[in-house]
Amino acid sequence: MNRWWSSLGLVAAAALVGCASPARRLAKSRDFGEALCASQFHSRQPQADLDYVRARIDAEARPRLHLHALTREELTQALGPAGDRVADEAVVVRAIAGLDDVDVSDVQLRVVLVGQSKAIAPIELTRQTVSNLTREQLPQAEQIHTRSHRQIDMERFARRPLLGLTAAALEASTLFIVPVTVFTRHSRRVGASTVTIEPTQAEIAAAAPATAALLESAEQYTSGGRGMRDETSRVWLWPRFDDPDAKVVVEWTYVARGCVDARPRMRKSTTHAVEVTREATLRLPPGPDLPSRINARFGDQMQPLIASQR
Amino acid sequence: MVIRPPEFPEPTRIPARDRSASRAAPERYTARPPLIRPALRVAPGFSGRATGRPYAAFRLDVLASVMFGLQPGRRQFGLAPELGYSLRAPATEHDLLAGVGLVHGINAEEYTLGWLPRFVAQSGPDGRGMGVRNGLWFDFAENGFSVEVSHQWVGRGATNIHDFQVSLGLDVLMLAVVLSNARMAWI
Repeated sequence: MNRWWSSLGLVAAAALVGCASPARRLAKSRDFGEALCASQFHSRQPQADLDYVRARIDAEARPRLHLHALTREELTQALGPAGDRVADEAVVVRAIAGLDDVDVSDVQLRVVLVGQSKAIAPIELTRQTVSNLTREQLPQAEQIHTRSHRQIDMERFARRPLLGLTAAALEASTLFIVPVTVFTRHSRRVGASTVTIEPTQAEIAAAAPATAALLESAEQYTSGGRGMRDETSRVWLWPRFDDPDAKVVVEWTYVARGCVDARPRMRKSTTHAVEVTREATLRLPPGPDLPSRINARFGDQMQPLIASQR
Repeated sequence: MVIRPPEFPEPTRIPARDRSASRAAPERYTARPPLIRPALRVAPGFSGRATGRPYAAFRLDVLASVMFGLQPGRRQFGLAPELGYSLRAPATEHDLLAGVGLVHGINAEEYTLGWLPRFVAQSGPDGRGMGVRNGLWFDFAENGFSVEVSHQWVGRGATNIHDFQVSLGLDVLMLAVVLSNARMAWI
């Protein structure tokens, strides 16, 4: 009798496994791109399946983040008095985001600093904005203006010399009022133009050394493309502010592209992208200033984003 | 004072793991669902007859088929019902062909390999006959050309006729699809 019941149990378990939605089965085999597509286009409970797949991706990908803000001392040590001026107005932060390699089309990550109940927009890292912070004078770009003028086409003159000379003589006889050589294409009008020659790196480094050094550092510590695969690193400038409730909000999105339903087909159908977004809020501990609060929150180790939500 | 780019300390990393899919992705819900690929094949070739004259002849097959994928993925197993007409000359013989083949590939980005068994109904100057043709078919990747090697047996009364054939086929439907720039799932 016992054997009969255990056989029945095995059959029921097999039926349950067989009945698991395709999204869940695919997520268990870490086929997350397919699982995300299946949860949206081949599921009776799309939201529940999507939540399940999202939790599985998080568990496998273990997204993690590290921020380090340069302190006033570090900035002054590297940039001299200009570093002090930068530290008065801005926070220079390097962010490293990483995750384990999972099968999705793309992972996008957004880090926002929230203070005074609003998202703090980062300062764009350009020569002009950085030189405004360091209060250094950038060398001016040189502009060359060219006035509108007539240009002789020597190749045309070489090919049709007789026509060219006749046209030139005719044009001269009208005191150059009627542009006969333009009609015969032996000359052409060139419009007014302005060419801007940007200063070279060496000129910028000589005139604004702290600006050049800060930009070089930002470039050196920036790696990875627009999306996030494995690890990516960025340098940001955030305006300095004072708020005891300041926090870092991290939003990351797993993307599966090229989703279609599973019906047999002859013609190519429109594909869709499925995105699933997670958010984590990291509160900054109290401290004397924003850089030290950021550094106290992240320390010297990459922080797992899932665990840090607790 | 020497001005230098500020340096950021490197944090201690969490060692990365490879968490890619534990098996080959079937692409069921992405770009490769089971495919349906029609084909219209015009295949001139050589026919050799071991059991009577003419020993060597020209053969032309015109075959219409539809390959139905049975599984998702880049390469798919499928069934290919097929109807066709075949001409053998000189001593003109007309054959009607019908069968269901077993194919693997289907997606035109890859080669397709098939076993194509068919029933044959033959009409010629020496009378009528019925038989079977078995072919091994290789369809090249990314073009409409294919090669088929086949054996045909036809029973004509008490006479058994065995033909061996090699033909080079061109899928004219695929050519039309490519020229018309139609968006087909199997290209």
